[in-house]
Amino acid sequence: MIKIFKYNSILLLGLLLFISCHKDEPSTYSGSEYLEFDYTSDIQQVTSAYSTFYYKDSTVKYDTVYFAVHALGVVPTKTSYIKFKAYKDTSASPAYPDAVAGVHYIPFDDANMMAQMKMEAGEVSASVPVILKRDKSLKDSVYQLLFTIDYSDDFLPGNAKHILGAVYISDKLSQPSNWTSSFFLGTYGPVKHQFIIEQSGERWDAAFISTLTGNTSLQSYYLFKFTQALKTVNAERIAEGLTELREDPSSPSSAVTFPSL
Amino acid sequence: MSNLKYIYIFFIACLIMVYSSCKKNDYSINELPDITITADAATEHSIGDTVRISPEISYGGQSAEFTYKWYKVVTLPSYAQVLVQLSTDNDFVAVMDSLGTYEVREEVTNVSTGITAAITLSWNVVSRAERGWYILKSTSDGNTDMDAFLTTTSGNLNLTDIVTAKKGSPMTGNPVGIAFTSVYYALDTVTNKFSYNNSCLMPVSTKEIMAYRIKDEKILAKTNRLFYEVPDSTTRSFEGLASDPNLMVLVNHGRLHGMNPISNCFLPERLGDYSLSPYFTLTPHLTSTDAGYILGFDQQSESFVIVRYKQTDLSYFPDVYLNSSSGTQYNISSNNMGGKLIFLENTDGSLDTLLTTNGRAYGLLRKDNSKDLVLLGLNLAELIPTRYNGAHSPVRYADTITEAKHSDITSASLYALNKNNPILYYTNDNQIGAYNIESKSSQNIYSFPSGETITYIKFIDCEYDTPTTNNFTQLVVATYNNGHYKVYRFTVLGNTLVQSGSVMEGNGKVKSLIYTTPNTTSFFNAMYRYY
Repeated sequence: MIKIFKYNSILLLGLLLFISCHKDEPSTYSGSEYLEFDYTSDIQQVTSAYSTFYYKDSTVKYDTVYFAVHALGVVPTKTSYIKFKAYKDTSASPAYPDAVAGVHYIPFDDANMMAQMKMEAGEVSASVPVILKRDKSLKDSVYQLLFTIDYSDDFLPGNAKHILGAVYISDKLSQPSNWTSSFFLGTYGPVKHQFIIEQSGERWDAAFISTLTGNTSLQSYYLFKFTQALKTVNAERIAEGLTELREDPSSPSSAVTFPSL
Repeated sequence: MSNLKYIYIFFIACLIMVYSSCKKNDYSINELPDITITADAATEHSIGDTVRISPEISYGGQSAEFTYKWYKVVTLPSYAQVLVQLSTDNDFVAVMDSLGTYEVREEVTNVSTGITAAITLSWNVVSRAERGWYILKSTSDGNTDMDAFLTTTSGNLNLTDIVTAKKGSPMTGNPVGIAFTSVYYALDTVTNKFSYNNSCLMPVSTKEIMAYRIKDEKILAKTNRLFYEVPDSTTRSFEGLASDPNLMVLVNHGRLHGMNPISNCFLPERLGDYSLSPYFTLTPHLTSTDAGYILGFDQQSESFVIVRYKQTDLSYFPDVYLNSSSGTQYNISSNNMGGKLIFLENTDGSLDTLLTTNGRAYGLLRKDNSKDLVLLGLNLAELIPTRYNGAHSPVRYADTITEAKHSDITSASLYALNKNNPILYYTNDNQIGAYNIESKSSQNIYSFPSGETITYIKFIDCEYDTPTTNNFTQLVVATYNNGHYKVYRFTVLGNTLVQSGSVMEGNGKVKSLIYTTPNTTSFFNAMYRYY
């Protein structure tokens, strides 16, 4: 009798335990938050911006460019702060000298700067300012500010392919970084550069040139327009007893030209 | 026994503890009927069709309240597919506005349970508009619209007032002409990306121009998006256009704008002291090798010009003359010709005694202060860089047609050239005449019923369609009578015109027309046949 009771009790106990089991709800991510620059292609790239004081009034001392970033992980529930960290170009022949903190830009560890580098609660993206300073050295050279998304109290750097940034700073008419040897307007020259700025009213800096990428139709328009304008200007100059437009007035071989249409 | 009592008490205690520790949510499920959506959809529709689908919703024989959502599956430029909501009705009603696969999804949700069922349907949308006649006409209020007489796989289809149907109003101003390109670059203003090789008609009125993609019947661009520097709308007056595979030209108040057809905008007007006539002709080019060289006429200097692609101005021919095979020169300058051009077209054959290819053109020059005409024969090989590249005068023939002898020709309102033989057709009111350039004889060859006035005549040698059984060689004539047009097609047998096919009829007055084919590359390369 005791034996039967014992076995039935164990069976009943097991049955009760079994039916008392239920599944947990799926868990949600509760780890760290990461930060990346916005990107269109998942390839290694440096998110670049350009700042030139050349086109600004001489009283303007600061310029701000914004970098679009987005968070990965959970939606921040509080205002979350972002950190950038500048680094030097260690390549053998840097294209430009490195910008100097405090001289060419507001340091990223400046208290006022840090207060502006943030993502609001409930947001998953932000535009982070980088403030550039007008320095007389920019009249002589373009400076590059290379930086990376850094660890902060609220974010870790995200995918290594999307955490590098750069700002090219100048206060002179300089060859834009994307005016390469295959540029559709031909070889670079400051006189040619000034000529196309005057003819089009556009800046023809790296930022503007980047808007023409892939738009061969618009490129053909500008090439046509400048070729036509150069023809007119040269005719007027020659009628006035001047030479054709040249990079170096004393050098006939430096005449401004454009590629064939 | 007492042991058994303790064991029993212990067991009961355990049972109470286990039971009380087991907190079980009530996950019991009451079986609900399935929502069943039943809908029939055809596998193919034509662009422009209105598709209506009325799905039947069943719920296990029970009644329930539902909400409905129709989505279209849209492929983004990144190739990702997203759902775009179209409506919240049970019935799907939409006009097919894009070619290719059209995929929709309906979601039906039970309001009380929140349970949703869905169905996905798809079909193929095909063009109905690629083969047939497009008629550019003036409307009763002096504006411009288009009709189409199309041949589709399911039969003939007529579309009327296409421009009004697409943009809400006709093009402002009288019709000027219609051109074709198979390589128009369309800029998507949302993505800022180009789609390439769009086969478009380019209808032009005195005030407007547009790029109309044939296969899906969409206006890709209107005037303001067809110029980098838009001509002022108040003074704008488009007067003529021509298109070849490398260059499309448009005349605005005598000033010329060129567009590389592999582009999406007209360039700024070309430099120079000129005022072009609206008449152009092209060199024959069955491939694009010799394309991009158009013969025009400067009314200001009364001189012929070459309009080259990849050039910022115009070129005039020098007063240098080409020897013939016998060493004889034709000393006829193409500059300062003392008259205004009133007609220019090309035809087969050559006026070049050194070459037998590359075509010839004939132009009619109205002598200044005279009613007489000069019929000029022009050697089109002069335009081509691989031939003479504009090194000599192109004029190789001149014949004065006097008012005294040929008043029917000198007073004619329209002219056309036979594309196979040197025969000039001309029209007076409802009469068609033919002038044999070689024999210099003329005669009336056809009369339309009284009251019909001829508004258009063109010899169209269509050898560009596929299958070739669709090809034809016809003299196409449009007449106008009391607000109504008729388009006749004739097979030419010597000086006899034999009507072919049915008459196309509609409202308005025909200014120009064009026959399109799905074989767009051959069509584009044969565009010289229209000039």
